[in-house]
Amino acid sequence: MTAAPPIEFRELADPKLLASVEDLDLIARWVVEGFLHGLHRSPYVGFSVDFASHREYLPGDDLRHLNWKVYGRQDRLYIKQFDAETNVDVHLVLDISGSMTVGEEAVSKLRYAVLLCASLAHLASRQRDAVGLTLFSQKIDEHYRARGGSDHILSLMSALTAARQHPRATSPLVLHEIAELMPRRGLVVIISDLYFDPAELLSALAHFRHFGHDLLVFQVLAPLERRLPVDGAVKLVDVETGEALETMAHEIRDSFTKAVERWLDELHVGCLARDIDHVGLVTDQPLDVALMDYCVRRSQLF
Amino acid sequence: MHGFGLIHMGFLAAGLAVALPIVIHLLFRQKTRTVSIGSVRFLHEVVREHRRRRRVRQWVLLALRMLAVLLLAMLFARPYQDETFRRGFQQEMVLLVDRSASMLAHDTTGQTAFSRALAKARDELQRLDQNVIIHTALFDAAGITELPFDQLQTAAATEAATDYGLAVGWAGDVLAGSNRSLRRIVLISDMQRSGLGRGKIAPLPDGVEMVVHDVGEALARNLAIESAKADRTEIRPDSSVELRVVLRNYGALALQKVQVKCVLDGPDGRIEVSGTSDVPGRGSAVLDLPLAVKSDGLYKGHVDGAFDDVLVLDNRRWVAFEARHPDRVLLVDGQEGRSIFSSETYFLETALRLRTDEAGDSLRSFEPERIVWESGKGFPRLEGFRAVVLANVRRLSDDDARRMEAYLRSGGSLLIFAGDQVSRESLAPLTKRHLLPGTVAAEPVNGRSRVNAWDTKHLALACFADPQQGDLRRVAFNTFLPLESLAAAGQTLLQAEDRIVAAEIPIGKGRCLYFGSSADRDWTDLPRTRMYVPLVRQLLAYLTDQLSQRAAVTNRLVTKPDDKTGIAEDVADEDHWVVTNLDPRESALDRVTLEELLNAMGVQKSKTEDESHRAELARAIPPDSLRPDELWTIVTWALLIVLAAETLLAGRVHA
Repeated sequence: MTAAPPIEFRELADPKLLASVEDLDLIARWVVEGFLHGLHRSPYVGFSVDFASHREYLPGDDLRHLNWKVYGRQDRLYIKQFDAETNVDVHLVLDISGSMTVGEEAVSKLRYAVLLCASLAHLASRQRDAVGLTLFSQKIDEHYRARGGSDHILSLMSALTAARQHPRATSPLVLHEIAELMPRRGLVVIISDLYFDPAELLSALAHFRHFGHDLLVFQVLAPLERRLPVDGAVKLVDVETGEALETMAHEIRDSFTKAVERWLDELHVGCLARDIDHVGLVTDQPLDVALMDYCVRRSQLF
Repeated sequence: MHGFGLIHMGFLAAGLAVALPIVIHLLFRQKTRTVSIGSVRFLHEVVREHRRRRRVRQWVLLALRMLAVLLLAMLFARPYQDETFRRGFQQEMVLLVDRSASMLAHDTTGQTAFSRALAKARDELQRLDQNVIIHTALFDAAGITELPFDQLQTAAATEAATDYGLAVGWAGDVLAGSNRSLRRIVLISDMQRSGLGRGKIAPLPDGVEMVVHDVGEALARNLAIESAKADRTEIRPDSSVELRVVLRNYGALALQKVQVKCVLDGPDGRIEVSGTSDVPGRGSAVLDLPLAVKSDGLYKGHVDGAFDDVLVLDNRRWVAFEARHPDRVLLVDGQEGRSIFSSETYFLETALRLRTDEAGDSLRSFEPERIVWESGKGFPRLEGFRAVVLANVRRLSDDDARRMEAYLRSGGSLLIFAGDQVSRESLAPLTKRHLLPGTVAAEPVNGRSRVNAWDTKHLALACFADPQQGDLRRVAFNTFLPLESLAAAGQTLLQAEDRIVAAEIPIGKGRCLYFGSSADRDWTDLPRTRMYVPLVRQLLAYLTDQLSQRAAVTNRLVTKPDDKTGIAEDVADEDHWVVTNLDPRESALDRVTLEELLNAMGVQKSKTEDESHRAELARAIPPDSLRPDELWTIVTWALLIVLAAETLLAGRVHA
């Protein structure tokens, strides 16, 4: 009898697979657990003081964390893992404007962003961080102050999955209002496609930095918006304005990709200048990239 | 398009398939897929640039596909390019049509060689592509007339002679300036042999081809009046004026009893005379027609030959002449010899009786009457004499001098020859009446003396200004009686040893000319020299005003394209008539061979004859056979290039 090969986290974190499951909370937990399990040799594990879970001992592990009781009963070596102490407010800011609805039917940008947001909420909750959530489009649609506790997480999950309108967002000025709602410094994670005027956007992000927040910006784009992976005659319709352009996709692909890259570079440089982490995500990428970036940024807070 | 053709024209209908790409495009046009995107902000700048480029590519692609279909249809239709079309851009041609009088020779159907030449020219030009540079010209010995083709068809032949050298030289000059590779002269003529001998033919420029089309008739029978001329136009009682007609038979067979008729209009009315003659084959016959000319005046008319031959134009010859009685000259012999040969005026009379033609058509004839001078008897009646010659007359009485003065003042002329009987004293009656041009020397000059000067501008002596006409410096005298001094009105004619030998003086309407030597050989050897006859005839002609008389008729041949045979009054000179006749060489229809003609022009071989032969062979190829001028290789290459371009562009448009 041969053992089945272990399932890698990357396989489980495939956006298409995750999108097929309805329960967002379950998915988020699944993602976070899988992610943490995959990081058992990561230098980031062990920053928590509360017991979180066990894992098998591996050579090189600190012997202080061996669970000797389990060894006595089962004659197997397990390492005790501990959660970090909660001392950071993690505030998730999610763009739910019309442009975020773009993407393949199963994995739209919004679905991807919601899943990322839920995962980050769970991850932060596991680390005893207070988690807040703000949903915005042209205005602030919903706002939850950062708090701890499983009930709060459930309410966040409910807010994320609730059906709502996705109006057009033309200006990032709403980010200024959101920044004003967070007087206590913490880690702010903005998830959006950032289809705003770059200067206005960077100005708004600077507002968060002004309040001392650490800022992590996940820019989520659909593959269509990043690489234009279609051929032939296409009619490209702006989901927010309804404006349509007909063209041969393959003919403009190179030019379009270059224009997008110029835009992303401009944003990236602007963020670097303001000590803001800017992470570009495409909806066909696994979520662990984003989670890892979050973990790195979170660890820098200690 | 000129020069192009299709062997299978029906396949051209497949060209309608050019609509196929359009139909395919409409039926299978690519459906536009609608895709949502977050923002079109980056598309605006990109799409605008690509939309125009894409539209151009699409049109080019459609055109290439339609062209490919068309070329495929063309390939099956088997296009070809006529050889003449290709050569048209490389060719320049001079078309020369002979318009000489001989081209009016007609065949048995009545069609002239000139009309056949025009038809041949039309055929020749219709075979050529329109891109050929063509110079069409008519030629004869009178010149070249270049004219457009449409005017060529309405042109007429002239009555001038043929000159191939003139025509080919002109054509060579025209083609020498051409930068086309194929240069050709097409000569359409009756190949008359006389057209070759008129002058040197300049060799053609290198590379110029020569094609000759012969429109003449072989073995043409032609009888011509080669000339008709009145040889003796002096009205003398002992002889009649005769018209000499030369008939020439250019055929091989002899002709018998050829009838010739002459019609002349003169002062006494119309003169009609006819005669017959036998003319041998390829030979000539002379027929003298006596004319009943009685009165002085101009006689005009023509001589016609009543015979049927190919060239009518030379069956008539125009004739005009002036008939007159000769000038009577009274020779007064001062010393009658023992025989007629030793008389003083023997040489003089003989010289004046000669019937010479010293000045072409001008009439110069004398009727000398000799008398022996007997002192005291005096002159006979001087009326009717145009001149009186005193040869060594011993003595004149005062009455003789008076009568002579009256004669001279009324318009008569006097010529005095010296001699051993002549002296200052013997001429004193004349000197007394101032009838001599000067004072006669007391003694004659003995010793050999030569003429050393003469008046070269004098009407009588002007012809001797050119030594080739006779050198007066060779005239020598053993003895001569010069004039010591010249009268105020006197004019020196001859000098020997710087002494006046001959001089003249006008007297009233007449004049007197003194010659200081003898008329016979007593004092000079002049009668033995060839200078004697012209000198004395010139002096007498001068004294009888024959030198100042101008010929009333000028005979000439057709030398200009618009010249017509006939008799016409000279528009620039009243009372002067011009008789224009056909060049007799035009009557000779002897033909030159093609080789002779080409050799004379420096052309070894007519290349175009071979090409014409090849063209005829090409036309004889069955329609389904592969023609040498088919363009399938060009069409195939064009199709391959179009398909390659279509593939390349389609990859860019539909990739």
